Amino acid sequence: MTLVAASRVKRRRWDVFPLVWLLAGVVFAAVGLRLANHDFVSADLAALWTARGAATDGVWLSSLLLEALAWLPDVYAQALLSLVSGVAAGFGAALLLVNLRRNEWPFWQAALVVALLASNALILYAVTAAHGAIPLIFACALMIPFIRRLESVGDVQAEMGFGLVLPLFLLAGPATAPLVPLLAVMSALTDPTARRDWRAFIAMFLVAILPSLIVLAGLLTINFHHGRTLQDFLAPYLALYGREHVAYGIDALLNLAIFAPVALVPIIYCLAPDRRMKPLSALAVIALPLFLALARALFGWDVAAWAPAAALLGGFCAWLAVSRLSRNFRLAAIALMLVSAASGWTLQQLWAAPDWTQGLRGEARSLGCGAEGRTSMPCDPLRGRLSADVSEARVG
Amino acid sequence: MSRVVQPSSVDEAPPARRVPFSYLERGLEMRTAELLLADGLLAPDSLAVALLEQGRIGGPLGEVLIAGGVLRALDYYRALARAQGLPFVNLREHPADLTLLDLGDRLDFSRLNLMPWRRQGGRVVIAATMVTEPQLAWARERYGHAGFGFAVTAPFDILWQTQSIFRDLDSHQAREALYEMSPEHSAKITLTRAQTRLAGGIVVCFVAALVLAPTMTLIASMAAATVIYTATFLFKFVLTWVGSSRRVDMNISPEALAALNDADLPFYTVMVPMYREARVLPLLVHALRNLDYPQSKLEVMLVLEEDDAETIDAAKALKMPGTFQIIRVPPSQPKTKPKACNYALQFARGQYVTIYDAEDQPEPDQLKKAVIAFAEGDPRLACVQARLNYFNRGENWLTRMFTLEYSQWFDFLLPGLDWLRVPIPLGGTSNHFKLAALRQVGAWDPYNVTEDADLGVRLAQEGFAVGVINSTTFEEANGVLPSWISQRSRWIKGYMQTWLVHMRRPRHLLRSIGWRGFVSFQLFIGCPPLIMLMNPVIWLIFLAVLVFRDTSWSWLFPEPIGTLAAFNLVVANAALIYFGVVAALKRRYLDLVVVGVLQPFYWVLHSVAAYKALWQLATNPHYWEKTEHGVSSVTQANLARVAEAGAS
Repeated sequence: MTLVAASRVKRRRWDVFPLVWLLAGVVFAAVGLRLANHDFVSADLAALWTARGAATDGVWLSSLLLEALAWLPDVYAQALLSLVSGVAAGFGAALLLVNLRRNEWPFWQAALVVALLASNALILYAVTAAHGAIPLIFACALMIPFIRRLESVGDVQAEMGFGLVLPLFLLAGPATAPLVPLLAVMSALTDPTARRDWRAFIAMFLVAILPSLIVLAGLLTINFHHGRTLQDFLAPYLALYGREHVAYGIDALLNLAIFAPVALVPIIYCLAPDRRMKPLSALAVIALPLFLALARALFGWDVAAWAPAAALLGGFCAWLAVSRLSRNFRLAAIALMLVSAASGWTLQQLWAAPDWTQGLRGEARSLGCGAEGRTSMPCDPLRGRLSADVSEARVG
Repeated sequence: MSRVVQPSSVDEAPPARRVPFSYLERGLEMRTAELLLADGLLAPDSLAVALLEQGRIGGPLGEVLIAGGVLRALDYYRALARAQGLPFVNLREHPADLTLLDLGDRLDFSRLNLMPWRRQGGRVVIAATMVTEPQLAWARERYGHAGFGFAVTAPFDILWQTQSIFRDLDSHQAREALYEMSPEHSAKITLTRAQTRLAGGIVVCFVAALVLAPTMTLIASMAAATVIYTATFLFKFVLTWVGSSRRVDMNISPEALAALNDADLPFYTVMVPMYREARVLPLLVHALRNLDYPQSKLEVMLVLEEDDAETIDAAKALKMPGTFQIIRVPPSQPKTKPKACNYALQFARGQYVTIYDAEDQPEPDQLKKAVIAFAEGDPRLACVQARLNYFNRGENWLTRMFTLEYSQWFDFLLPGLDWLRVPIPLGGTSNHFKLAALRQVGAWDPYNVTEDADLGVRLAQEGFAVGVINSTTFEEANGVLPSWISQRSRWIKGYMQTWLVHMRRPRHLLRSIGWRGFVSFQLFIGCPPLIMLMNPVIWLIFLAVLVFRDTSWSWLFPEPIGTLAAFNLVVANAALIYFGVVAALKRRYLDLVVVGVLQPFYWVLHSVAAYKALWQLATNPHYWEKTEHGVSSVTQANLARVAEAGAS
């Protein structure tokens, strides 16, 4: 292909970006607004109204957005949250499409992947109901291309990029924060010199972890700047790591298997003989969500049972966008995404909050003012009704 | 038929570095060789080797013999004169008739290696090192077809004669050419009248505002400083990110180097301006001899001050090959490196010219990489900058910091600037220029103590491009603190000068380099000295808050400036440390990564140097702080090694 032709193709691929962004954004926002219209209130907002202070659950990205929303009248908050989430999710969908096309996916296959992801119940739930999960899904998804670049190119920009994306796990909440030092150690070990020389290991580890330390310092600074103490900052971390937990069992692991069967594709990819194979990024697609599921299963960490499956879906799609796959692999990926979407919708009752399902169906949930099912909150029809699963929908 | 290396579009026709394929010229060379053999001045096996070399690289046989060190230039040209049936003239014993010389032909004398010598029998006898078509054409143009004759002389005689006759003119040109050509580009005057009035007005307004509304004035000042910090940090982040990709490197591959035919290489001038560098001279000569470039296609100019007898004597004692020349710069003010370079440039004959410092150790293939870069680059490409780094990085804390800084500068920031297509402030050495383009823009500003940075901006203003190539010159990092401060203060002073010069006509600057270039110029040239000056004030406030818990300063930082200031203090500074740490990665200097976290202490030194620079800008703007070289233990070891190799 000549340079001129290549640049024309590149421009065409990006031409669809605004359209896809708009379409996907409208779909997500429409779902969110429908929910809001039927008195659905996301758990994060509910927690914010309950505490009536800044969210201090350690999910810093969400906290930032929710603090901004706290300035608005409550009746608009859910709607605006839906709009913002929809726009962001639409952007992600459009970006996915463009990168799939850049990776030589035929248009109809790429569009199908995006449509299946956007219509997946877990993703929809994350975007419209459990906004605290978005940073986690985003982090797991965004990390994959940078691991891939580290594998395939390994230049300084790849090392920097990896280090710059790693703080997302810090910002996504206490449950994912331990991934920061773990991944920093692993990235250092990818360097051959670092495997032989401990000084080189320290150097590469520092390079990977410094951006996260910088972000941590920034968070602490903002924390102090707003009059909070170190104890306030550490509270969600101590709450998660410090106290006694009851293990949740294997529900998250089962959800991974049932709702994210796409994990089979990177596993088979790693087993198939191909000299161009990049296994680390493929394994990361599974390993990162698996970590979360195991943390919930073994240590009882507050990770929603459905969240690892959603994170796996996000990471998997990011992996599709950066990996060269044969036609068979691509078709298998699409088929398994279809299975994932179908299982997510048909087995909603296993993982989704009931009021979310009711809201989607157009049923408003009756909670107060003389009706049955009083809550502890004062009745105020303008504020909408609260989701019952306040603690369940927390991710961090 | 002779073959000439094709010039690029900005080049003048190069001097006659011709491959003599004509039977006449070949015959002349062989007759000359026969005479030398007969006189016992040339051994047969040396001739055989030289002929093989000439077949490989091209060029006149005489230059191959002289460059190889098997023959004195004087002997060769005497024999050449006999072979041609022409008289030989020793210009030192029989100097040229000054009445025959036209000042306007000054550059031609160096370019064509000729000089009108005497009038004899109604004709002008022209002393020349060779008589080929360019020399004949030059003579016909001035004296008609029958009005001239030739005598043969040695190249050194032309050089010596030119230097002595045009000493004052050349010296004046070296100092004043740029100022006379375009005074708006010269740092001879630090502040123009308009700038002085503007600066005075700003000071008066600031003082008045401070008196009338001190709180608001200080808050506005702090807000401006905060925004400048943030903007500079973000720009550095973009440059570091872009520069970290291997795709931005102008990579000349080993395959491209291997495919290069030595016969196609052009004549190259290497200038090495020095002052009191007798100590490191052997290392320099050793490094230049090791350049992978046909010696017969090089002219190496050691540019020495006339009063630097020590270095001149040391150079003579080294018995350098015939391709090395000593250019003596007459004493005059300002006594700066760019002035010396301008002086020597008038003698340069190469198609390309590069500058090295006395302690430089360039990678051997650097000249070839530059040639390939020019050949394959945009026709507007006028300069390629090689990367600089240090061979004594592990000597002490200061050399480690310096190495990190240079690695960041040349491995990340300059490639980032190159990718963004904005003006690149050149490094002090290892800049490779097209000679014609360099002359077109007026060469270096002798009054600017960072003449390299200034030249990079001027090249961009004239529509030329600058690139960065994947070749490194290793230098000696300054590991002595007082010397480091002096050197750094000169650099900062130079950046202040460069900013002041190019901001004399900001609209013209904007039009010539565009918005992107203009913003880059402010953030890369203008803001850093300002930030170094502001840093101590900010640090003092920070220390007061942190150490003494004195929060009475909080009124200086109302929101949202407060949050931005907190961001700068913690995140931006930490990120700058991170960029410095990452700078070690391209060269895998992993031993510098951990030490890199101590950069804030290094920044303190920058601020000390900045205040010294500001003081000197006001009191002695053209003073050149000479850096001492050869003090490093690594240099000492290298010198010993070279001396041993020479003895054996």
